[in-house]
Amino acid sequence: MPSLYRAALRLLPSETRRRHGDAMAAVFAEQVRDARRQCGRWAVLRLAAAEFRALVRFAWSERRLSPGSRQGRHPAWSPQPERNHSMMAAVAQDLRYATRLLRRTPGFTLVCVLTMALAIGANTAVFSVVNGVLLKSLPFVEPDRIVVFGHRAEGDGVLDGTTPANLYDWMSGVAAFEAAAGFAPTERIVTHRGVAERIRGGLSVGSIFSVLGREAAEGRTLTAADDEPGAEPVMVLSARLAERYFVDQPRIGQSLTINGTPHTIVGVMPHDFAFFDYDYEYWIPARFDAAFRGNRDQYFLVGVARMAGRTPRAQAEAQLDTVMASIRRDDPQFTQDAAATVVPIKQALLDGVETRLLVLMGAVAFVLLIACANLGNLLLARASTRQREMALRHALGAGHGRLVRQMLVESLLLAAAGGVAGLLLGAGLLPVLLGWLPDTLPRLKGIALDRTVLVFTIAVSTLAGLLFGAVPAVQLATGPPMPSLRDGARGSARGGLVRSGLVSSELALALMLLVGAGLLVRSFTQLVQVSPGFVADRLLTFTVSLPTATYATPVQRRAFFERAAEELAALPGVRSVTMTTTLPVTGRGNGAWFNIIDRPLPPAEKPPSVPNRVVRANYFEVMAIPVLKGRSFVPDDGLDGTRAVIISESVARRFFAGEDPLGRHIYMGTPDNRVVPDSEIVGVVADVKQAGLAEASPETVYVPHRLVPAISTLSFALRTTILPAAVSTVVRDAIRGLDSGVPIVRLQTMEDILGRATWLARSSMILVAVFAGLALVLAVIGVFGVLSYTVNQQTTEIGIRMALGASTRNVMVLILGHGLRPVAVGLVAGGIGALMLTRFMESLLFGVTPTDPLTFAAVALLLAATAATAAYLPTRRAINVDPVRALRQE
Amino acid sequence: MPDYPRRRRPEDFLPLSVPVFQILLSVSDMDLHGYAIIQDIARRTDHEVALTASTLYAAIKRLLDERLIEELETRPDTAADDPRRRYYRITPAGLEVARLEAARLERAVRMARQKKLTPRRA
Repeated sequence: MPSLYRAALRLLPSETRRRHGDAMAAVFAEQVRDARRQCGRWAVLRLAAAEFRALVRFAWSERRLSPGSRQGRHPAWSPQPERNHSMMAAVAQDLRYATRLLRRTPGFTLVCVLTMALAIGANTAVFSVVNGVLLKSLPFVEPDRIVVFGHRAEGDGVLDGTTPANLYDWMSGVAAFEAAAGFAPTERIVTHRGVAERIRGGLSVGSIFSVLGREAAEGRTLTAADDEPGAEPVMVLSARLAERYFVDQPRIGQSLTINGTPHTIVGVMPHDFAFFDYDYEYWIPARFDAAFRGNRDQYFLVGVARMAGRTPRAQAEAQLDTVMASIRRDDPQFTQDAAATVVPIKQALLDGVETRLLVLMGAVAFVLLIACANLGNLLLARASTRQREMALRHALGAGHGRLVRQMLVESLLLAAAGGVAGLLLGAGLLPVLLGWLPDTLPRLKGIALDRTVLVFTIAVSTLAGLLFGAVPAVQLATGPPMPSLRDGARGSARGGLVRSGLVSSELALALMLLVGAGLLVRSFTQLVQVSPGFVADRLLTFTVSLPTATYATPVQRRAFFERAAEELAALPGVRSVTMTTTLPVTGRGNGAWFNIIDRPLPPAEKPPSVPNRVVRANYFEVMAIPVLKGRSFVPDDGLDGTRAVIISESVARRFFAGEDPLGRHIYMGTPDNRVVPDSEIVGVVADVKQAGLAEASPETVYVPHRLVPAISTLSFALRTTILPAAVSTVVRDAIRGLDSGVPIVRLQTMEDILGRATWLARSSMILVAVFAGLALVLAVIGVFGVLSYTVNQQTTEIGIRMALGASTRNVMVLILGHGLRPVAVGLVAGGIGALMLTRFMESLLFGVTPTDPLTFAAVALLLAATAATAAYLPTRRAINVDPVRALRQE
Repeated sequence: MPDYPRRRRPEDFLPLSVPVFQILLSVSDMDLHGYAIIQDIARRTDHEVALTASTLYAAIKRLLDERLIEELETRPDTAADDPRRRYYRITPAGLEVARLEAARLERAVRMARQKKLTPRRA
């Protein structure tokens, strides 16, 4: 960046640069350093953009005043000098001339505009997504100062939740935070006019809104007073939910029932507000009672804070850890290895999608560069056929500069036409693209073709026009003074070199892109071949939660679920029905301490946490999960029968290596809050992929429903004899028939769930592959075009050689050698480039390394073969040249 | 020096642009280098006025040309200091211009108050 800035300083007149250049560079370097340290690379890019804009303005005003310039003697406020008028007139003339010329060659113009439109359209659509998801600032006041905080997760070091007591201690004891609050996602039954729905919302501890600095569009936001234990239950709605529930009606003061408790609506947020993401439809104060505020073993809250000024994050982390250390003195077991971590909110929100989107952006940028190389070639070929015209204009008094400008105006005009067409194409492509992207993509609802995208498209089109226009213009400017009028159209050796260079770079770009696409395709095929550990065929799933107000006791809840399961199993088309707290592939399940009773730990040591799932007794039979050791659950297992649990083979491996786990006793949770009471391990089952297909070691403890009957939310899995979607209506009716106040959510087949788990991988693979295919087509057209042109130029030479007795083979070797040399150069350069670039994709790959030899070899072979085919057609034409005719052309 | 006519009277410079006024405020009570000026302005205005290097130097060049500030020949000798840094100090003329601008702004605010346009928290 600093060297680029040094170069840009040359825009200033030399006198100004001499006086202030060094000091400016020093200031800019310090700003870049601070921006990078505080806000990351996007802030650096924003800073650079602002700086370059200001620099151009500064240079412009200086040059108008500078003593060396023609207008130097005019004070700044004098009217525009005469010269600018004539300059404008000349450009207008160039523009008219270029328009006429392009209209006269509609085929050429159409090819150029279409090529540009494809590339610009793809760039516009993908940039809209990148802008909406990555670049657009979050809808908070000074979003760069907002962070989320919690504990450092064990494995990958990312953010993990914290407990109410830790959060309250942190909220009051950290000076690096100007304001701090906490939140947790929640999903509750919202009842409006008798219709119950399960809707996602946010739980606010303290006041998240004062941290975020946003006011309500109507009414007020939640305050810290609303979160006090005895406060009235109130809620704030998203604009979307408010519009859905109260069309053209006052909302403030109305009330909605949440999990059986009426909540008064005190505010409606503006449309653009989203926290944590757009899928939170309401915010309610947590209102924890005094006892729960002291809880230190339920990790489900995330802190959110506004940093005081520009405090470094490390300082905040150190202060959080200091608070932790004082808690640890009182509660050693709960907080033994709980380190704090502070993450910028954007990073937490975009977890994992940044690389994927940047790879996609890189892919379309490559397509654009290839398109530019192609257009450069086309213009170059055309320029050589226009040498006579140029010579004539030169003879009539047009200077070099004027001719170069003419060329640039032409290419900019083409770029502008291509840009407009591309913008329209991009606007059409964007909805298609959005349909392909997974609906779990963060900030998806914020994507739009807005002003930023428009500016981007204009800038990229202009740059592209300058880039491909520069090829013939530079050649014209640096070429021999002026070809004579007498000479026929003939390319120079120099033009040949430029053309080969363009072909090489096109192939290099295409190879890099194809390797990237190839790696993603290989990863995806590996991913979908992963066995989930159960039979996913013909499974219909959905989730039911009981309103705790009407289903107050465990007996009532279990009775409802059992009756529902029995009625569903009796439906035609349904073979069997089971239930679980968390369906496979959709999540790890709730973690709790895993305590082996005959292997007690010292009091200060924290037992490891293992996820558990509560299941109906027939779970393993219905899901077809093999029992490896011991037995499956029987209906009697539970509080009043055998207190039994079953562990997955990875749990057996981790805790009972070389021992028999059967018959051992465990409990889960803390000694005084046992989530799973003391039970005997009665079986070991095969591992099932619980949180996505890429998960390595899915440890799970299965607990029978009758052992923990208090659960109010369970997911059903129905094994059907017909297509699962066909029974969805009768299933919905059956649940409604039992109790219309109980909502059904996420009614979907297991195939859908699996598809969703690989959706992001699949969509980015397909998109990159589509762009790679486009790049391949463009590159092949480029190779074909250049070789055809070369053969045309060499017709005479070929004719002479053949007249002198050269064999067909000799000529073929000559032409192919000529044509394929830049191809080979391009493939080698592309291979090296790909080796350097693919390591940035490592986090996206599954079961394949970034330097996978098979992918590299296959892509190189594919490109070489297509290039050879593209070269063969013009070569065949060359060897069929009739020597006599070729010679006569001369 | 460019040979356009120099403006003499302090009131001829008014009104000052926001960056120019803020720079004069920054150097009014101490000698500062370019980046320190940017930081000082950002701190005082709570990041409302964020100058880029070019905006800063476009203004500094004008201020130097008009002799409202001057570049220091000697520099505070601290070992860690970047040798490319230039330090600036306000001139008596600069102080006068800044004072006049402040008075002008004050008059404007007074007029607004009379019309009951009191600032409200955003």
